[in-house]
Amino acid sequence: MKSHPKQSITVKAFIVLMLGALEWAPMQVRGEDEFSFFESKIRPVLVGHCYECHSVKHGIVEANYNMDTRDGMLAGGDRGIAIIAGNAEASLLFKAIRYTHDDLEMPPSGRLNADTLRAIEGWINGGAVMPEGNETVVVADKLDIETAQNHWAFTDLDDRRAGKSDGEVVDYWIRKKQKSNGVRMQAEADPGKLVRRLSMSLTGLPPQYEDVLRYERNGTPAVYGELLNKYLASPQYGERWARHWLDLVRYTDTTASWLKSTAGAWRYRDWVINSLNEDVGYDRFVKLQFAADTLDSAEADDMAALGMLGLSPTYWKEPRLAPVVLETVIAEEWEERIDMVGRTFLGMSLACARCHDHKFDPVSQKDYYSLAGVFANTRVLDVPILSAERRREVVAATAEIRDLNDLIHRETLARSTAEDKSVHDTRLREAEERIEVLKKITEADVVKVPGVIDASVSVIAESDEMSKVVYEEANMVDVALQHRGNPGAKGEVVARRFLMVFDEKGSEFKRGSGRLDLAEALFKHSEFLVARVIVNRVWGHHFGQHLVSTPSNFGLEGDLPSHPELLDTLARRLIERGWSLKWLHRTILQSNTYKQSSQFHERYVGRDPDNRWYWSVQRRRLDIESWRDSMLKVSGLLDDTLGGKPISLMNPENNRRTIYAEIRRRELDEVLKMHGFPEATGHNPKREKVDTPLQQLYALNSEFIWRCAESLVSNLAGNASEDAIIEELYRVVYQRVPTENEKHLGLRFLHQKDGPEGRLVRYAHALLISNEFAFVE
Amino acid sequence: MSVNNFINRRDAIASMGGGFGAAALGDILSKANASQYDGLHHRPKVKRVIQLFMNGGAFQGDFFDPKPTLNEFAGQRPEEVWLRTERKTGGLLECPFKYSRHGESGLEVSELLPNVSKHADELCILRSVYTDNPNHGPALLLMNNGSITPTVPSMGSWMLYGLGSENQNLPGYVVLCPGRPVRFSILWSNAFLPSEYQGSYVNHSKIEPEKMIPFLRGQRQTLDEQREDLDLLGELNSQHLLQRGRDPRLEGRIKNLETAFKMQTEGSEAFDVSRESEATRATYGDGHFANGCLLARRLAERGVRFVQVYYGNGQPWDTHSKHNSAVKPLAQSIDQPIAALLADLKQRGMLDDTLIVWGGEFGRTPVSENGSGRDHNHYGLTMMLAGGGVKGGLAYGATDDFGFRAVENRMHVNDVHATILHLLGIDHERLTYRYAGRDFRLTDVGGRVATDILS
Repeated sequence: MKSHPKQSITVKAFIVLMLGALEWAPMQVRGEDEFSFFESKIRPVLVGHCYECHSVKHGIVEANYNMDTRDGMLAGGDRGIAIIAGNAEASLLFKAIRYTHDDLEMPPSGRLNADTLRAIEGWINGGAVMPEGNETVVVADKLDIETAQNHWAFTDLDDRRAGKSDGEVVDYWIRKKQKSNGVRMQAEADPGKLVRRLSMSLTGLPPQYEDVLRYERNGTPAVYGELLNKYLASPQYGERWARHWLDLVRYTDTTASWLKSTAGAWRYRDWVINSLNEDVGYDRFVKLQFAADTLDSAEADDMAALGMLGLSPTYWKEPRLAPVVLETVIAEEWEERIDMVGRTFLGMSLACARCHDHKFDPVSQKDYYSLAGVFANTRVLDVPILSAERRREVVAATAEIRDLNDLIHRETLARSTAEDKSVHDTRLREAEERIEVLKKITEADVVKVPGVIDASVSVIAESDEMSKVVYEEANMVDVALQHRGNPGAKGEVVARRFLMVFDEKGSEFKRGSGRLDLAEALFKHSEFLVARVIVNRVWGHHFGQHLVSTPSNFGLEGDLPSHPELLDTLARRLIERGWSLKWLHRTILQSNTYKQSSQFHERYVGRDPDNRWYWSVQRRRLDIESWRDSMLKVSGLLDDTLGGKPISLMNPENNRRTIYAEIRRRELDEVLKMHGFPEATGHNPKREKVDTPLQQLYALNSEFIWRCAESLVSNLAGNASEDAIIEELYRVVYQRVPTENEKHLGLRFLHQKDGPEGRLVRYAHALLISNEFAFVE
Repeated sequence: MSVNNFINRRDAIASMGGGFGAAALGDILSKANASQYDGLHHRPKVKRVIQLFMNGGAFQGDFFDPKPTLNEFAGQRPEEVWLRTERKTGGLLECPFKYSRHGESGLEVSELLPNVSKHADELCILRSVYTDNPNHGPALLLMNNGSITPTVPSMGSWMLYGLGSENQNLPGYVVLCPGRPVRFSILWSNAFLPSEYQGSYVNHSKIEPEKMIPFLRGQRQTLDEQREDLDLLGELNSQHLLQRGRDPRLEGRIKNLETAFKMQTEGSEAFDVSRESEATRATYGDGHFANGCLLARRLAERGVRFVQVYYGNGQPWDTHSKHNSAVKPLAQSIDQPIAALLADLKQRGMLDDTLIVWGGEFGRTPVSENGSGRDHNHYGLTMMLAGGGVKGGLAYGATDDFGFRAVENRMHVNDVHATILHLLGIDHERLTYRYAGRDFRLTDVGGRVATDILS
């Protein structure tokens, strides 16, 4: 499975070298004179201008081009043969140093002077003789797949010791580790905090005060379970968790401007919300996003799932540029997709293997290009939301219309010169009538979504000045490996298939682009890893810390799991429960581990400052979505309509949940950005926790929060006493009653001589921007 | 900026961000002789950078790179200028602007910059810069982020990540533009670096500070009223904290709230050019670019590490037609402000530890487009440096006879970045960030410091 790109080149070079020698050698006299010419004219140039980057002796061999020896100099590096002995004109090296090559100019610091160029020309034409012959150094191929296969994340799930029930399994493994690390689980958090935490975890919104009261009065597991199920069943669950997913797949509402997409990206966002609410199994959830168009069981609405790939960043391909430049741009796009897919589903950084075998993980450059092949046959295009059957009809009708238009074109030409026009008139009339019928099929109220179709991509030179990107739907192609990620230095063509570390047989992807094969391979060959990765993500959102602290890197460079047995047990059971994410939530959230208090513990902090052994549940700042949505909720402004078109946060009447805020890849909204919301340009494994003064300027001065404060006050009972008002505000905002001291502070603030009328809104505003409101614990 | 600041910053990040703290500071702490140079890789020549960005792309032949041969062959198309650019081009287009020698160095500057030419001995002209792509988007990305793909951090973010901020009450990286440059916020993106390192974009087309900075002031309250509210909030927050014991994030938010309160006045002050004397304002002249330069000086003075001044909305320097007449007002609007900025910094003793960088995302073609315009040119462009650490009165490198492509002492954009970081005391190969399984850096796999231009 090791790849030896150098080998083939060397062999090829050798053959050319032999031919070159046959053709040119008789003309040359080899001897001391030539060596002295080399020593006096050529070596100084190599030392002065080349060895800095191209010398094994100097410890650096850029582009794999080693100029220490004659063989090395001739054989070239990533771009292939550098010198054809005896033929300077045809030699890549000579073109590069004359600066006549399209994109290779050496040395980069500036063109050599004319005398030097002439000397090198003569030296090459004279057979490129130098004393150092053939002690070529081949850089060792470091990839060792067998060692890497033993890495914990790449081995099957180890759940042999998992005899505990779903209700006990989390606490069992957490307690076991606690025991050996000298910490203990803390008592359950007080009811108000726990119910708020639970509601925030699942819906991203604070609970009703009634829910808190209920659990305060009857703090049994049964009541807790009812609340848990209530939040899990609410549509707000899908809204909350869809956003977690959208971070991973770099969701945006607007794609590149030149794509002129009219499709609603939001339909993909809504598809994610609905799928999570319906608890579609994670395996199906994933497969639909890769290949809803080819999955037989997909329904019409599932076409929106293709948005994951359809919303991929696309880069401008300037037709005035040389084909190899456009190929580079296209290769960047492949890398982007492979990066997103690798990190999202496998927790692996596959993109590293674009230029060379992965330094740490068992991913070869061949693996990379076998996956790139999938994306080389996947074209980003708006697609209609239609059932498979209807889609076939539309596709067929569209093709027929195209043919009929060709026919009309031909007939119109023929008619203009024909004596008897009636035959042509009949044909034209028939064709136009047929088009009218077909249009009813193609134009019937078709809703489009950003998606993908199977079409291979290639770049051709249309003329000396223009290149053209060509997509072919009928023809799927495998791509060639690119040495050092350079499309100008292609190697062998690799078949589309899955990573060898998981599928040693290397079964080829045969169906269309291979998207469905790829999605199926994830679950067929690397199910254990896919399951671990998603379990870890869900866990991380509930606790604010992960079992594997590098959620998108499970490779050899990633962190080890703190609780491997727990991770594996949850992963195994997730698979057994039909990949039900709601099952996973329940299992985690009903544990005592989750329910415990956030209280600081002097002794345990000393023993386990990072809380790796879960002696507490971390206090966390709300992300921008939860914070903003909670303000809307408690102030009574929240518009809880599910789904639909995005709306800008700049819109002063935007009372929708933040997941519906318009996301632009080119320009993220100012408010989202300052609160650590990720750019939509790439996969984002976890939100940064950044606290800045600019955020607090927003808290102090944004109209949005003042508007919430006003609404909050206007909802209060009209004639209540100030005592009652303060109590009511605490119940609504914090879901608790104020302490005496807090009440006292409030009264003192309201009782200044200019109050309390104008001061109530200010008081409500202070509560909304307080730490208590901004954190969950 | 001291080693301690570095360490504190790492702790702060770690306490706020949990896991990523340790990875966040690249190699700087672990490998450098930190104590010797205040936590940097080597002795820095400058503390801050002001970049004047001619968005759209200026023509190198107009200002600092005289090409008599170009005019000799005007209208013709010699073999050397058959290079592929973005659009269709024709014969060579004459450059009508006269050059003369200035200062003791005798540096050649064109008549388009009469005021700037008075500072010839301060200027370090890079005549042989080149970039990778002749489209605005990718070229802007390369010049700002060191890569044509929009997924990596900007130079300013790298700088801030490496150096930290000198003024906790102001953002450390400010982007001024009277409008919006093409590609917009991606150009100052922090990408995968922590978001505190992103550029703060300020549209200074209206020069009242509260119109430049979002949420700098609210409409609702006087500062006195706000102080009173903050006192209440302070008591609520400290009771909340007291019940919970130590928590750096709770404490951090309390502190940030106070900082924000102060920023309302200090930020207002820093961004308020009306506080400058009439005389000073007169030396800069009028217009957005003049205001931008003056703002840049005010910010630099207050410890902002990196100020970018984009010339204008969209791409004003993108002269695809009637180039020779279009460039005159453009040149006029930058000449006096740049000269004033140089003089002002010098007078305040700041020119020695400030680096000025002037240039666009690419150059323009010596051949004509539409008969009178100039197309994008990634084969060669001129950049101008001035200030600490660079040789003044120097013209470095050369383009070919027609000013089309850089041929001598060529400098890729990565090389320019490497050189700028070098001047700040940073080794561009060691300012790295581990992300997605790779060590990223501003200069990707390239970058060479142009040691010949260092003073």
